Amino acid sequence: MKQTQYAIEAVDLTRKFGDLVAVDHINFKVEEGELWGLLGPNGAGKTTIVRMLCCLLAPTEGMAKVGGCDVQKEAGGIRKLIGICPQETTVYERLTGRENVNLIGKMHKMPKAELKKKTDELLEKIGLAERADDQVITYSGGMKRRLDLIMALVHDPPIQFLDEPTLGLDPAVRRAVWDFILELKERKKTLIMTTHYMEEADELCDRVAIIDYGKIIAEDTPTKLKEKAGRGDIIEMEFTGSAEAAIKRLRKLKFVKTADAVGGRLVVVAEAGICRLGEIISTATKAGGTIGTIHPQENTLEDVFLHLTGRRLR
Amino acid sequence: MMATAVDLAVKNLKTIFRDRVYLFFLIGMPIFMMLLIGLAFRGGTATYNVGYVNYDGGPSSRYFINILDNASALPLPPNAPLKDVLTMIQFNNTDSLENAFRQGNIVAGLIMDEGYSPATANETVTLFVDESTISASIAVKSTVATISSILAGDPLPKEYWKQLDKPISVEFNTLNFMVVGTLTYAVSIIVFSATASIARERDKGLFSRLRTTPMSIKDFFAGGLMSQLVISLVQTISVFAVSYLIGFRPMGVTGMDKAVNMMAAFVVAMILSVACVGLGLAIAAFAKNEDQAVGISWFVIIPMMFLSGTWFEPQDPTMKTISWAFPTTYANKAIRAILVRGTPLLDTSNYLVSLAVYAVIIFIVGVAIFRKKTM
Repeated sequence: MKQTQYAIEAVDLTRKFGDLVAVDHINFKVEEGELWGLLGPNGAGKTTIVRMLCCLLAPTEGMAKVGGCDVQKEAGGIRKLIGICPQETTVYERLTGRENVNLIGKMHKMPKAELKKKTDELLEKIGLAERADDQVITYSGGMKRRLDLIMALVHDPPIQFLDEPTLGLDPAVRRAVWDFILELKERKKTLIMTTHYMEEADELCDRVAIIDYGKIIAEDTPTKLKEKAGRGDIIEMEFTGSAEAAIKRLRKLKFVKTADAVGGRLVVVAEAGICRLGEIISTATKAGGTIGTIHPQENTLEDVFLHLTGRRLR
Repeated sequence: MMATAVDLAVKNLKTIFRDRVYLFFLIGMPIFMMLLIGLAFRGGTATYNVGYVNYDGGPSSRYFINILDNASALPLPPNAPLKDVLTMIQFNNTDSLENAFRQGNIVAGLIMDEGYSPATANETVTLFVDESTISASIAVKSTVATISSILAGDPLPKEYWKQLDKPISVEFNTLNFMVVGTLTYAVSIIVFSATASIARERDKGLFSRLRTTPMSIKDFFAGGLMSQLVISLVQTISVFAVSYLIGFRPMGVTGMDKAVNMMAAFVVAMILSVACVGLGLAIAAFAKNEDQAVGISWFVIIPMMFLSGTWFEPQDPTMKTISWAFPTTYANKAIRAILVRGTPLLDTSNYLVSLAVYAVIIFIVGVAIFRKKTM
């Protein structure tokens, strides 16, 4: 990888398909060792961005660099630096799991011994060791997806593109893949992950770019995005006492957006409301009354997307 | 580069050889066809039923019929190309003869008028032949004409009587003709195989995945070509093995001659394979998906089979001209010359060079189209 300030950099990156502008003059920078997420609905342009960064699609306008190499001029250099787990499962069904992994390792010219060690290690870690020598055609969808991930990582690339890495996985396997991604993050790999699962972006990404209709409409850490936009955390409380008085007091708090009585409960929407739970409770009780069960519901990136676009992600 | 291409070729071969349906189609089908053809034609030289009405009834006309029925009764040299191919069946009158012809019971009819003699055969003998059966038509006409000439005392063409320097040990027959056809058919399926495998890799994103690795595009095409050549080799060996068991023997006086001729046929088959892979690449590039690619490949393979002399020679001059657009035409002619007539490989250079040039051009064009359309 070239000595460069950013692992990935895009300037006015654009891709058109006829009249359709799939990616519209986007700008972003990803630092080395960062897990950068692209969150957006299906068809927003996430995969097109990944394909351009992986030199599979030429940009119509603009420039992008991966590992300091220009995507249009130095594709050969980029291919040595990257690994990709594509959105669609792309494995050879008539090869075994191990043969699929070995093939990618061989394409990267990995030494035989190293390839074997790395393949065994990854198959074990991702839970495919027992079925490694079976043809992939006998695998379940989740197993194929995990194999896809191993194929992206076997050559230990410094920059990895994970295009919807947990699409179609059951919750347990998704959790295992998350742990694996977090481990890569600890090892200071640069990761670019696309997802339309808000909780995935929230849990894993250092920074998230929210994309809609080919444009990045917001970019920051998940926490800051939620602070800046979205309706805020929702605190639902059982309350005995004068709800009207409590609501009056709560509405005076600057961070409280709304406070209402719904079915004998107080429902408070507040910026970083969970962090400020103590202040909310004390304000309500000062009006006279006691608090029963509390149901705090954190603000999500879904809310952020809704706030920014007026639409839900899914 | 070579190691990566070999790795890709091994991958291709594993994916093909582990798919039983695909494998049957590529290798089992030609073997099956060879078996059927072999069983159908293994009787050596075919015989044809010819009906006759002898209105003359004299000794000359009876002798003529007898010789037509048993040509070997003539004192001919051992290598003379006149064989006992006609079985003469007597009819009492022209109506019954024509009726048998219409029914398909005989492939030809011969009417001998009164006053027949070898010298007046042109005026007293009427012959009609089922022209739709090409081999029968040729065999009957040539046998009747040759025997008529001999009986009339006409000098036969010089080469007819000439002793060959190297006697031909295996005669031409339908089985030999069909073995070559089956071989080129088997190799032609490479068009389908190459088209399907390349289109599948592209459709399923496997090609894109490989393109994110340092694999060069040359590696990809070299790997594809290598694997298809291996399949061709297996097809060719299989077809020859089965044909040998059925009774096919390549031309050649000595065992070494035969072995050399077989190797020469392999060389031609491999060159044909390169051309077929090139066609496959071009088709895969144009097709929008694998299903379409497979359909188009058969749209190319079938005319190749029917027009290039794989099973029969086209008769129409226009179709004959069009047939030169297909690599199988050159391959059929070269392999038939080598295996059926014992022509040395180098003496087929006109076909061989044309086929090689065709193969190189179509492969380069196929690669170029694929690159342009896919990348």
